[in-house]
Amino acid sequence: MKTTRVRRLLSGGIAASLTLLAPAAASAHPMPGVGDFYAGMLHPLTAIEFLLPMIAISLLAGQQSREPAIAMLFTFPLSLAAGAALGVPIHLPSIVAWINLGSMAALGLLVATARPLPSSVAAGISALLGLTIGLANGAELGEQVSPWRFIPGFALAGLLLVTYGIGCVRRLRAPWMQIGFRVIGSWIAAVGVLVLSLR
Amino acid sequence: MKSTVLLRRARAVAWRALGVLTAVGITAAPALAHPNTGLGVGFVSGFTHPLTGLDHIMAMVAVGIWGTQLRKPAIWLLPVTFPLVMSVGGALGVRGVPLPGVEIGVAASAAVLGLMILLAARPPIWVAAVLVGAFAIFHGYAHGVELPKAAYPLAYGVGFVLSTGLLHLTGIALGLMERWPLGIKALRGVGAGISLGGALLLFGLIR
Repeated sequence: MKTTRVRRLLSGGIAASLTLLAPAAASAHPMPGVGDFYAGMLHPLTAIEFLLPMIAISLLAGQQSREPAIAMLFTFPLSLAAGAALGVPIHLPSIVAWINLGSMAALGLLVATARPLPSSVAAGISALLGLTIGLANGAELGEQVSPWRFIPGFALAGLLLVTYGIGCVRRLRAPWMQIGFRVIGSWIAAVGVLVLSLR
Repeated sequence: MKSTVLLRRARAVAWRALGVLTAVGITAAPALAHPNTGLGVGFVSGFTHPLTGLDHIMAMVAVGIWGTQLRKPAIWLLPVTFPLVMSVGGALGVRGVPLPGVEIGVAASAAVLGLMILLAARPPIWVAAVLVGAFAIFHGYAHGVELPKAAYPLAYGVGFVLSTGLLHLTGIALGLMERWPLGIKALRGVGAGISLGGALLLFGLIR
């Protein structure tokens, strides 16, 4: 009994310290000591304006039935990669930043209402968000970073995040947990509305 | 049999939460020692803003407790819709739209919600929603006014939404006492305290 208690205490502690230490370590931009592949994985997760809509899209995917969830699982990372590849050469139009900010409010609201979406709409939403987040991240790539390593890492991070979201929401079926996911969506939407009002 | 399983699970969750809190306490200080990012500073100022006023704390905890007293649809409707309505109030504050009597509204919300808990009032759901929604606008406005001044407005927003949500959760957790006969009485006592505190703040008898 005692040892399991200590083990639980430790596992909780380690998990929390990892989440707290990771952003501090990664916020330096050229990311010294981290290869370009891992820089690609970390980059979208270190900025709140990308992280929150990505969490929202992963929860939204988890709330859908099998077919739209699978559609989102594949369209999101692919469009992230496409967006980042496009974002490297072209100059970023300002509408992209607007879509990224607006998506926080819109996707958060969708998660809060937990509406089932048709596959085409679900795939369309994740493709649009993936493209704009990809463009924004690709445009920030410096000369020294290899896009051939950065972009696969970047798309993999998106794939993992959506996989985790689908896994969590589909496995944790207790009613209060399902409400908990909707509450997270509502928090993301609230942050989105506040940030939009600043513009 | 079933209750012992539940109890054991609750204990496991509590130990894990304690571990997380300890680790947060240990690692928070080094993580914030990054003056050039502004992210940590913005987040902390947002997270602590709802915790600096007694009226805010009491009102948010009261929302959670009242939600549990109102039972089924309200207990999950409140934590989902409150942040959304509050963010509309916050947007008004950011934009500087004049809203009279914000401080009065915030203190009055604690007094009124405390009274609802004391009476264990169960009005129709839409009445409760309109009442709580009106107070949510005032609370959001009070935080939103500070948002543009923050070091990192986005992180400030995340911090203040998160801490408000956690205060609701505290109220809901307290409200679970309703399962026991003694807990029902204790909750009404808490409601009386919140109502009294709100009234004293409202008339400027305490600060």
